[in-house]
Amino acid sequence: MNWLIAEDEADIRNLVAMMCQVWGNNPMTYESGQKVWDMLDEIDAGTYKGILPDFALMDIRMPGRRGNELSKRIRQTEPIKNIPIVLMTAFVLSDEDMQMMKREFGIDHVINKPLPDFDQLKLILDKVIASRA
Amino acid sequence: MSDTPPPSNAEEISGAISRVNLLGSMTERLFSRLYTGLNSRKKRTPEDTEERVMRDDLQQKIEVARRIKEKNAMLKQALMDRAEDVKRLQGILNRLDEGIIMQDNEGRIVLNNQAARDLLGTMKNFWDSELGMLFDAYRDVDQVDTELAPLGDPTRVQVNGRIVGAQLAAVAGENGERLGTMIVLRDVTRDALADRLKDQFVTAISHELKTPMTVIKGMAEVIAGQPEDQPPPRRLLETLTRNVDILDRMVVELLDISEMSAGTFSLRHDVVNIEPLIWSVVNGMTPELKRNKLDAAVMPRNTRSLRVQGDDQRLRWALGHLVQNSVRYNEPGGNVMIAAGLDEEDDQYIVLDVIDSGVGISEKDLPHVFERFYRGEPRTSTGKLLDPRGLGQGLFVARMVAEAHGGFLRVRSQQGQGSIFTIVLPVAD
Repeated sequence: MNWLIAEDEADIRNLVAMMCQVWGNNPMTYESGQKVWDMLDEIDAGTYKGILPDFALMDIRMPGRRGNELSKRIRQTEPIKNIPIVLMTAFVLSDEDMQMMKREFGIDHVINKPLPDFDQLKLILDKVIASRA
Repeated sequence: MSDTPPPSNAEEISGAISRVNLLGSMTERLFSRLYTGLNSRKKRTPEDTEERVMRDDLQQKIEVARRIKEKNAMLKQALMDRAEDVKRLQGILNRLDEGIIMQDNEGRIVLNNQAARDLLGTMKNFWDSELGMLFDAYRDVDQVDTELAPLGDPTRVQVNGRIVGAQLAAVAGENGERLGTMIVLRDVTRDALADRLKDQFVTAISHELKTPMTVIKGMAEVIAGQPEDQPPPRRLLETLTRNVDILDRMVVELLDISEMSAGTFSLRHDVVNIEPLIWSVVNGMTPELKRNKLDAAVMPRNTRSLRVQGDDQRLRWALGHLVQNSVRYNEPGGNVMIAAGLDEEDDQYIVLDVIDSGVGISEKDLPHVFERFYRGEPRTSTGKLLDPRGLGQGLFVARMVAEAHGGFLRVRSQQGQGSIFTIVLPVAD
C-alpha cells in the first residue's frame, strides 16, 4: 500500500516512514500541510503524475494546512475520496471533538501522541484500513 | 463794653423787647408741652398690664429665639459632623482598591468611588456593560437576612477594555428591609490573563513534551528490535540523543523558571567569549534558516572586548531564543542579523542586537512579550495567524538570564516591519 504521511516534525515523520516500510508499505512523506494541498490541487487539475495514496496518516497541527482540512479535501478528491484517514495529535481531544472530527472532516480515527507501541499502532491502523476495504 | 453802641432810638428798644417776649412765650410753650407729656403718661396707667404681657411675650420670644439659635448651632455642628462623616466615608471609599457602586431600589446610582470611576472610565460604560443589568436580576429581592447580603455569585464582566470581577450585594436596614444595592468591583484582568496563560501553558507543554517523547519511544523500540549481533544504526542513535537533549533542555528551562520565580536562580561565573557563542547559536539554527528561506548575517565589532562573566549555557539559550524567534516569526526571503559590539556611549557594556525583517509584534502584544508563558498573536503580512510553537517561555528566560548577568533585554518592534531584540551585558573585568 502507498501511505501518505504528513508530519512537520522531521524525526516523527522519519520514524513513522520507517515503520511504514517495516510493515511492508511504501511511504510518501510530506513535511507540511501545504505540500499535501498542492498535491491534491494537481490531482484535481489532472496534472498529477505520481502514484495515488491508498491510506493517509497525518498530523493535525502543521504549518500551512491542518490535518483535518486536508482530510476534508481528500474526501472531495474523486480518485482518493474513500481512502482510510488517520490523524495524529499531541493535543488532548474530548469525545465531542473526536466525533466532530469524524463527522465534519471525514476522519476515520485519531491517535494521540506519544504514539502507542508499534504493535499496538499496527493493530489500530490495520483495523481502520480493513474497515474501509 | 465800650464797643457796644448804645441804643439809638425808640424803635430799636421796642424791637429788643419784642424779641425777649418771643423767647419767653416759646419757653413757656416748651414747658407746657413737657408738662402735658408727663401728664398724658400718667393718664396711660390703665394699659400697663397689656404692656407687661407684651414685654413677657417679647421675653419669651427672645428666649425661644435664643433656644432656636442654640439648637441651630447644634444642628449645624451635627450637620458639619455628618458632612465630615460623609467626607470621611468618601475618603475611605476612595482609598479602597475595590470599586464601589451603590444603587437605590430603583437601580439609580447614588454613590460611586474613585476606584469604580477609574475602572469603568465613564458611567456610560457601566450601563452599556453587563454590570448595568446585574441589578435587574435581583430587583425583586426586598427582604434579606443580614445588613449586607450577597446576591448571586461573583461574575466576570468585560468593561472598558478590562475584565472586572463584580459582586452584587443587598444593603439592608435593621429589620432586613432592603435599602439599596452595592456592587463591589475588582480589576481581575491580570488574574484572567494568568489563568489563560496557565491553560495555554498546560496545553503547550503537553504538546512540546509529547513530540520528543514520541521520537524517543519510537526510536528506542526500533533500536531494541535490531539484531543483537549488529550495532544499532548511528542515525537512529543520533535522533534519539537529539530528542533526549530537547527534553532535557525543556526540563532545565522549566526548572530555571521556577527558580527565577523563587529567587534562587544561580549562574556559573566563567569568562564567556561572545563572538564564538553567536556563531554556535547561528550554526545550530542553519537547518531552520534554510527551511524558512532566510538569510542570516553576523556582524561583530570590538571582538576582543566581547567577553562577559557568566554562564555559557544560559547565555547560549537566551540568544538562541531570540534568534529562534527571528526565524519563526519571519517570512520566506526575509533576513536575520546579529550585531554585537561595545556600547558606543559606555564601553563597559556589550550590546547584542538580534534584528529581523519578520512579522513584528503588535502594539497589543508588545507590552507582554516578556511575561512568562505569554503567547501573542503574530500575523504575516497577509494577515494570516502564525501558529506559535513552544512553551512561551523563551523571551521570559532570555530576559531573566540577561538580568541575572547584570544586564537587560529590550525590544523595539513594528508590526509588519520586524523586530530588534537587544541584550545588554556588562563587559568582563
